[in-house]
Formats: sequence, structure tokens, C-alpha cells
Amino acid sequence: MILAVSGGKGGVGKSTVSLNLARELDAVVVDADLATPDLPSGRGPDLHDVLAGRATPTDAVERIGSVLVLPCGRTLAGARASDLATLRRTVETLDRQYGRVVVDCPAGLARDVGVQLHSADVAVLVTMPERAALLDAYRTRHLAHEVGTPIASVVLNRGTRPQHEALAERVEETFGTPTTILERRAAVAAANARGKPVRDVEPDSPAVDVLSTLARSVERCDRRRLERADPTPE
Amino acid sequence: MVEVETAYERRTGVTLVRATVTNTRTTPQFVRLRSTLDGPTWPPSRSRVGAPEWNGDTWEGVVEPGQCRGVGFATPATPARTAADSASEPRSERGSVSGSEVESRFESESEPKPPLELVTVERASAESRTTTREVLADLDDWSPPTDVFSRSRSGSR
Repeated sequence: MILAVSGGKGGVGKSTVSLNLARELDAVVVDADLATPDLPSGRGPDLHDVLAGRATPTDAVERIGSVLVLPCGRTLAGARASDLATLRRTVETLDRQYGRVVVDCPAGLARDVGVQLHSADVAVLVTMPERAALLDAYRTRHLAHEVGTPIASVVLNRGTRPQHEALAERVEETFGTPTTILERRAAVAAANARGKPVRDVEPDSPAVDVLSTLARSVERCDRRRLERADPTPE
Repeated sequence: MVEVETAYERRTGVTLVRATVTNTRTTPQFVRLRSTLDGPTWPPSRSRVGAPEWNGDTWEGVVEPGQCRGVGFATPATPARTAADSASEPRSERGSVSGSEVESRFESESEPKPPLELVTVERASAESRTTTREVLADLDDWSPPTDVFSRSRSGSR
């Protein structure tokens, strides 16, 4: 299963959700934000090297803490030399090898995001309770629909209960997708600052339950997709 | 009638083929063209993504009534006529199709096959065929946001 974590706007928490979902799903997380990567950088070859044909996807995967990461390079030259056309093959190779891949998409709605959404089996949209972020998420939903990728869930990041519950319901209605509120919490911020999933820093935080539930809904969405593709009962 | 006018030119071991597809009918026409050259077809790429009209050696596109569209590709293959005489001057051929049956006419019988041939012409259906490739090709080319310059200069990352 290839999961794209997208959302349009920058700074809404796509990388945070990607890293944590990778932990909950036991997946490889690919930092596909070619120019402004956010996930921890590795020591070996990175996604720039893979997309330029200098390394194989498997060689570039490394374990950072508890999560397998395909890190992204930090140079502009590397970003420019990356061939987007090979991204799909890269994530598919990882999917075959590891079974589950989370792709952390960049902000914006340019072709890089389009290719990543198209390469994915399911998508999760991350947004925040503010107008610009919600609009961008809605545009991303439209693009995902156009390239044929179902959306498993919308994450309303840094929302608060109970005041954003009504908003979450409206998002759910408008997007036609289950919506999860990931509340602003010290545990999430602390884990983020250390580049680690919340489960590894504060396993008792309620955020871990939210992320775990989110991971299960992604799995359900993927199962539905597979059942539709192959309707024969077991 | 849908007409295709082709021309090619050999330059440093690469054949550059260009064509104009003209639709003189009053309805939009869905046109399929195919390269007749025996070699790989290199479609034009708009900012690193191949033109969505091309798939292998076939080009498919809709030509609006009274309009023409430009088509081009490159290939390492040499057209039937030997490279020696085509290197200096570009060659032109013309083929046309009337209705759905395909017939090709050339200005002179001795001319070799044009590098692009008309395969089918049919009235374009009302619902536009938007493929994923077209959706992706229509998106903006991605580029690093401007703030990465200030970020890399300050060395915070």
C-alpha cells in the first residue's frame, strides 16, 4: 500500500502526520518534499540520488530511530537534478519490498504533488482549522479525485475540542471523508522537535490513540480498494 | 477533411519531425497519428513531463473545427530516404483523410512515406477525454519555493 500524505498548504503538519503514520503502520516513509524536506536527514544516499539514478531506492532507505526513512537531500542542485518521472517507480519498488510506504508530499499543487498523489493507492489530507488551509485541502482533494486516488481521512491538525468539532463535521460533509481532529499537544511538539514519532516519546499521550485510529482507517480504506479491485471472496 | 503536413530535418544524428494537423470540417475531430519511422519516438517534454498526447509512437488529440495543431517529435531513426540528401534541405509531404476511411496522398509517387501517418479520424465525442496524463501535464511545473534561498543562505537547515 502506498499512502500519500498531502494537503496543499505548507506548515500544516504533513511531515508530522507522515512520520507518525509510518510508525503506526510500520511503513517506510519517503520524504518527497524535494526542495524543502522536513523529515530527518540520513547519512547515506537520499531521494535526490535515487531520482537522479545514482542509487537504488532500497539502498537509500535507512532506519532513523524506530522508523525506516528514505530521506531527502538538502541541496537545490539535487532537487533540480531529480527526475520526477522516476518517482512512481521508486515508491512502487519500496512498496514491493516493504509492503507499506508513506509518501510525505510537499506543499502546493504543482506537478510534484500530482505525480505523488497519482503514484499512491490512498491519500490522507492534512489541514488546519483555518480558511486558507481548508481551501488548499479542498483543492488537493479535487486533484486526488482527478488522478483517481481515494482519500482515507482528513486530519484537522492543531484543532481543539470541543470548539472545532462542528467544523470537523462540516469538513466531513463537504469532503465526504472521515475527519480526525489531532489536537495541539505538548507531546506532539516535543516529539516533533526531536524528529521522532509521538509513540516513541510519550506513548501515553492521547495523540497516540488518535494517530493509531487514523492508521486503522487508512488500512480499512486500502482494504476496500483491494476488495473493489478483486471482488472474489476469500 | 483532416490534413497532415509533415516535414523533417536531420541534425547531428537526430531526425526532427514536425507536422501540422488541420481540421477543415465543422466539427471537432479526434485524430490519431503514428510515426512510420523505425526507431524510438522521443516526444517533446514540457518541463520534464512528456506531452500527454504521445503514447509510444502514437499521437492522439482533438483538433477543433477550422483550427490546426502542431505536432512534433524526434527520433534517432533515419527516414526511408537516405540521410545524404535530406541533411541539407527539409522535406515535406502531405497526407489527407476524408471521413473515417484513411487514404494518404503524396505530392509525388516517388516520395517516401511521410514520417507521420494518419491512422484514424473520428468526430470527437462530447465528453472530453481527460486522462490522468493530461491532468498531470496541466499542473504547474514544480520549483523550489523562493524562501529556500534565504533558508539555505542562513544555514538553518
